[in-house]
Amino acid sequence: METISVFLTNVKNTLHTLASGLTSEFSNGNSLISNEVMNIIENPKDKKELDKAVDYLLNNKSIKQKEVILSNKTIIISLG
Amino acid sequence: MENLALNTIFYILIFIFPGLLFRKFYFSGDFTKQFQQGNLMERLLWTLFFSTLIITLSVLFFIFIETYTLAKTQEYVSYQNVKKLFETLSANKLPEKTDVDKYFYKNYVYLILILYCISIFTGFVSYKLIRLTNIDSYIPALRYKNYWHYLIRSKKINGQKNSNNKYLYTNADVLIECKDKTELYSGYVQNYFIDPLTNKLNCIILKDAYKFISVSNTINKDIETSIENKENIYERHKIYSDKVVYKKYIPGDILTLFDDRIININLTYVEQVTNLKEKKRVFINSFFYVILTIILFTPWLIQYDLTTTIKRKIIISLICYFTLISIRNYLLELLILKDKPLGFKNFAFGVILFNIPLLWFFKIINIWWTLLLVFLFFLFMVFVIGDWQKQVKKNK
Repeated sequence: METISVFLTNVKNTLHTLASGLTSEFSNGNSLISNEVMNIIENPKDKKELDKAVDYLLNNKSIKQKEVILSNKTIIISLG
Repeated sequence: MENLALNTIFYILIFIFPGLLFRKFYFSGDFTKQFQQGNLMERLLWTLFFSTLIITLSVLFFIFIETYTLAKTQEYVSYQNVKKLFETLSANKLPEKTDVDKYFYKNYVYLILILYCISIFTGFVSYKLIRLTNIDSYIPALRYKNYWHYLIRSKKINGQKNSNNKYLYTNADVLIECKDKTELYSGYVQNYFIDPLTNKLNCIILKDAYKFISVSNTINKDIETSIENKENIYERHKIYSDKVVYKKYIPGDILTLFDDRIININLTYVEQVTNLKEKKRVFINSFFYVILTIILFTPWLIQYDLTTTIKRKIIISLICYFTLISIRNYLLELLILKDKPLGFKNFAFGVILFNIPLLWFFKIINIWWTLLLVFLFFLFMVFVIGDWQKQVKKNK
């Protein structure tokens, strides 16, 4: 029973790996909160950094861009 | 059977359904409610218009297939046969078995299904093209009625400049009426719902929402204690001489605010400035899609021994599609433009698996041996990739 369970898990993992090789991380910008943003705001530290940067841009209208240092990358944001 | 007008069914199948399917898929995503908007006559006219357009496109498609492949669509569904069928149905009679040859009805069903598939495909592709290119921002005729879509995403229609930056999310400050006072809520816009008939906002849904609370300096001890204890309920927003404004986080995942209590909404659009890395990614993707289009269409345009049947054309197109996507993704991975790398081994295994059907395509082995090989290679992958992933988990 355990062998079948391991085998089925492996089948699932293989299919997942195959699907990952075919999916695109390229966002067409249509979803309201993309997976990329979700990853940022689900990390409390990153979310804080992002919110701080947005607050800063809102309070300093003359500044157009702000660098946000996230846990795995650095992005530059601006208000649309 | 007297009350059943067969010709009406025929008309609906041919002149209504294709347009209906096109409209259903054209109004996808945020615009599904527009499918049922407008008066019945207007919708019927649009449906007829799109049906006629799709029938014309389909006829051109069949002529193309007939001219450039060996498939003979007209062999069974000839003009004479269709005319005879139409005349019989118009007289409200079922066609006789001997009226047309034995393949006619089967091929007629296939053609109807292909017509419906073309309707779905063109509707969905039109929707996707408009969304990807944002062409509706420039051409009012293409604009959807759901203006909240444009308001929430900062499109040009909204009075905002269309930038080349990448849209990240929209933050909303929503002022609502609560008994005899007002309250200000803020959060990431997660979703919104509109009235199906009027497009008026029904409710707006905020993620990670918080409420602004203004407290006098003298009575904020409990709040300050909560902040010091890091309870994540309050956060200081601004300090004034006589009061402090706090953010009070709303427990739960999402907050739904209904239109009947909303006074106004202040939206902030947050975008990511497109850097060189992002530009490279866009360039590679655009280049890839050009190559993909050329490669996918080539088997359909050329007359070649190996691509004589539609089945062979579909298979080679699918092989090319999967292989090219895998190569594109691995190329992005090599250039460190992919957030979740897959690794060379998984890339190579995927490409080999997708290309095994080439053995059938080049007539080296038959279809059954090919399927067996695909199955065996997949099993091999299950053991190798499965174990490999286990090891990765163990190492972690």
